[in-house]
Amino acid sequence: MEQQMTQAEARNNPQTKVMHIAPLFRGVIWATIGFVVLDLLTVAVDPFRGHPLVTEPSEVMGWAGAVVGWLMGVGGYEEMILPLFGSPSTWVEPKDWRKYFGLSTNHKVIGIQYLFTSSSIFFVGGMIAMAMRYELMQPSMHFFTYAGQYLTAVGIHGSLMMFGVGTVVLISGLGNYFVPLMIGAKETVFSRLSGLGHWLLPAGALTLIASPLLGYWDTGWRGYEPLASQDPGGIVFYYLGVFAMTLSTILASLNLAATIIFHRAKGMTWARLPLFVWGILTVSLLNLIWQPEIEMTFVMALLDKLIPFHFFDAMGSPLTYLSMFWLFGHPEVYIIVLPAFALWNEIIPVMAQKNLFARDWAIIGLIFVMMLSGLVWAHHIFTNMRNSEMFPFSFFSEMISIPTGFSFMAAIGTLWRARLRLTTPTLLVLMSLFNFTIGGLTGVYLADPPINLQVHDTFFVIAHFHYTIIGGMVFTWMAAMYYWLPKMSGRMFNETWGKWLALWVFIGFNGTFGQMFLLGLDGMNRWVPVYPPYLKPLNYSVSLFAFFLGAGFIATAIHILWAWTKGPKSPENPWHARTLEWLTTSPPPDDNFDGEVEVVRGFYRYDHDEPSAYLVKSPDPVE
Amino acid sequence: MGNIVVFGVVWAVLTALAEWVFRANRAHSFYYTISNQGSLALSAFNFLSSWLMPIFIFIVLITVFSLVRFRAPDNEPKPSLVQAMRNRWYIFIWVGASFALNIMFWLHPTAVDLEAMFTNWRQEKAQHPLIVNVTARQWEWMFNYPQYGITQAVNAEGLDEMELPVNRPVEFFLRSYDPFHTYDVYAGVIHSFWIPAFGIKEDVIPGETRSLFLIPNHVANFHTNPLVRVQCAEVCGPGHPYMESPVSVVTAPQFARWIAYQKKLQAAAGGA
Amino acid sequence: MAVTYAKDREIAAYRWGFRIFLVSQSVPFILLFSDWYMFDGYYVSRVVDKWLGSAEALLALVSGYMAWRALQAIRQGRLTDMVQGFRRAAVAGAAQLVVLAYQWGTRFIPPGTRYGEVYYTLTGVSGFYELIGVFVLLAISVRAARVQFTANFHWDAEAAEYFWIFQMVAGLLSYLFLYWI
Repeated sequence: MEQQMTQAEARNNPQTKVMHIAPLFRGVIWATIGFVVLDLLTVAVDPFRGHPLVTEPSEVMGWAGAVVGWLMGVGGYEEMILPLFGSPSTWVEPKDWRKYFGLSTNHKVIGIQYLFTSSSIFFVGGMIAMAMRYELMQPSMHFFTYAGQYLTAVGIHGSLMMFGVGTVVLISGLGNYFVPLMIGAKETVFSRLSGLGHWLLPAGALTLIASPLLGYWDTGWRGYEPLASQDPGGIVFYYLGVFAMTLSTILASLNLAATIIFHRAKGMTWARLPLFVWGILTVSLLNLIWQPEIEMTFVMALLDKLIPFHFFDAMGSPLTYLSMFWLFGHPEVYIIVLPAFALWNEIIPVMAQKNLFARDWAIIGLIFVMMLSGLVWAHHIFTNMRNSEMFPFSFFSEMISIPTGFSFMAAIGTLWRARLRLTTPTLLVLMSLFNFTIGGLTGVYLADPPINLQVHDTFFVIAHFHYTIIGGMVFTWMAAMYYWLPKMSGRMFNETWGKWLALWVFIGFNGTFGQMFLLGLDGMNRWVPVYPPYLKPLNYSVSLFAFFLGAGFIATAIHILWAWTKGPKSPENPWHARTLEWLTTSPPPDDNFDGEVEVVRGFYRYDHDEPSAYLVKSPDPVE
Repeated sequence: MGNIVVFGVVWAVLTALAEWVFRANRAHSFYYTISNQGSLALSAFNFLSSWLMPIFIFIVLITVFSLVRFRAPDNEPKPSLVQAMRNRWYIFIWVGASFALNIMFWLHPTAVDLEAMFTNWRQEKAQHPLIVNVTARQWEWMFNYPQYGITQAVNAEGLDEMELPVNRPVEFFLRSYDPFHTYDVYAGVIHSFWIPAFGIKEDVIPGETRSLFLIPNHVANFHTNPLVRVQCAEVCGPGHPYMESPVSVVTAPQFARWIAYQKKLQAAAGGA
Repeated sequence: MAVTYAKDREIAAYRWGFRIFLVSQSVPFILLFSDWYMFDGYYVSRVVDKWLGSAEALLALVSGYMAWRALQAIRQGRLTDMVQGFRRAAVAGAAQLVVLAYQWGTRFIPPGTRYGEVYYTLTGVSGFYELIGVFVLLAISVRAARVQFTANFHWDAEAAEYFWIFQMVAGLLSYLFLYWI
């Protein structure tokens, strides 16, 4: 029996070869070849002669060829195609820094790849936001030459931040790194798929960043029809870029969900599953449902653009596109923020060394938000609805704040009468609570149709969702980076710097987006590089805070990078946390645990000193 | 117990203070509102604000309170003295209050105001409203007064403008520009008809005709307050930021004079 | 014993993961079917060639049956039958694609009509899945020559079969919606 088993696994028979070319370079070369071949092929079968060499349909086909070439080049050929046909994989994962620059099957490497790519995307998206804010310092065009350039900047900023950062960092990034560690797994279920999936993210982001080359598109991140059909070729790269990035998220979610269900350590029952793992499981399911939905919507929109079909223009139904977009769009924001909720309740008990209050309610909250998130989409289109339709959507939109509140309830119950250690992660989590409260409460206004009809599509809404996403998710992301930095690097950051930088970002953030509420109420609408002059003073002040915020993010990134490489050595478990990732060394070895993990009790009890899990070192493997 | 009392007192004082400050300023929550529809939205906004204020202060106070009162003197990993995992009353009140508040918010202001809004619309419909046909195109708002035979209201420079008599119901018919019914994507995209001072906006969708009612209740114009303007709120292409038109709300005699002027302009344009 | 258990667990994880992936991939079809209902209602174009459509559906059914038989074969340890079965199923699938390509090539159904839009989108998407399915069937039949499948360990074949049945069901539903309902 065991003989047959080893035969069934081709990878056990390595005939490794030395790569003579860096995988990334090979990826670029193969992508170029893929683009040229498929582009020319499309031109060759074009029934209408005389088109230029690159047309909109041929660039779509060429792009598909480029992505396939890229994925094969970074290691997909050896790791996926050869094994698929039964040949042994000849891929060698380097042991040094080069492992980050090619396909990897180690979830920790993949997690860091995602974190790095996503942070780069955050940087690019942030710089675009700085350009937008610079433009808005004056009521007339003075930085961008055409309004279309500004609108393209808005669209790229939004799409990059949503699909390349918001949906990615906590799930594909920290989730990939920590979920297997937290459940005591040695590897993930679909490691190769997950490793390949990462490389779709830079491909998608670069596609989006390259989109202005094909013409300025002006729909913002939502790609509303029929405007999108009217736009030049840049909109095609918007669809394709988002397609690649969402595909990357689907693959990561599939892998994480399967890992959580099948690779839990002995004794890791559902009742003991850590909160962050619950958060990742719920959003993985949301991703698996809604990301394919938006992909198909974009395929239809692309057909509308290329052929052209008339699904979503005046001959079809523009409102169908709006509904299909927001059917995905609203779950998307919960996909972004649910892991952050879970992280609050992961970090607070550790920093307080106090039992997590009402753990069951916190989990119920996550699950109910997940289930309700598909029922609220139409509150994004109250300006298109009849009375009878507004009632139910306004109802669900208001009700979803109840399970959201359960995460707050657990966090506050844990904080109450705690011995709270004021570390940088604590501070950032508390800031995140503060910010998300503002984001959530302004959401109550927006759920009320008469108010919504006034503030919809104004800066009030911009402020609202930046409060939930930056205020809720990005602050928690920073908290988690500090919290897990000793685990990922074995080094410690500087507490004083950490706190001052947190305060810096906090002031910059609230100054920027707090004032945007006022701008919105004072009649500033969205997607405008030019606005009535009476709004200039407030816009000027928002921009100054925005630059301050941007500098704060960069300074934080520098601090984290410094600590990662040069920081003082950290003790094995600096926070005295109880979850499984702290059971192993920092940074963890390749197979995570030097032995077998057995969980004996839950992780959120601090009223006793008994360990929650044991690591049974095995001198010889089980075989 | 001591903590609860201190917290409760600070919370009550801060809430009272905030409510007091808010009460003094709440007429200006929307900066400037001059229609019955806008008043409805404003009162809902203020109602929600005064109810959300205690919640907001509660959470903010908790974060500050944790930083001050519950802060550990050092970073030694010592367990907290209190290790509660459950507090029946706290959970009961939290869950109960969040259900009660949300259901209340749904009934009032949401349900009540929507009902009021559409009752208003029905009544205004019955009062022979002034009809304004609004046509949106890339990138222009065009206003047509069919009851007065004015095909496109413009000022002396030929720029579109809208004038409305005060305290008279208005019905706006919103359409996308498509005079030959070609449904060309190059002719019609989504726009959004928004007059900030009136407190309402409605999307204009190609191929659909929609209507909107309201009563402007103050004399004002774009020069007295820049919120009195028609503004496109939905992105509609590179000309989107320029898609605005001035609005004037005037007395009935002024409106009659304006109509006469428009007729003269129209005749001059036709005769030329 | 422990190793067998771990291996079973591994296969169970693959199986569950693949099924959930297929569920996830059904979302685009659900979306397209609702759009079919919305844009096209119950209208069936008069120019549509029901014979060709039925031929496609028949080929899909036959090919699905062949793939199913192939899986039965490997469950009983008959490797050559499995390889042949997969290859035959792939050929039948490819034949179906050829029929589809013929229908597209003649442009009998005008793409500018409401029915035409839905027709080309639905058949295009299900054809794309089928193309991938053919590739997977061929890949697995090649793989079988190099990696020993047995009656107990043949997850790879099972996955290919899952995917093939999935695309077959999606294709048959599209056929029903486009030609009959």
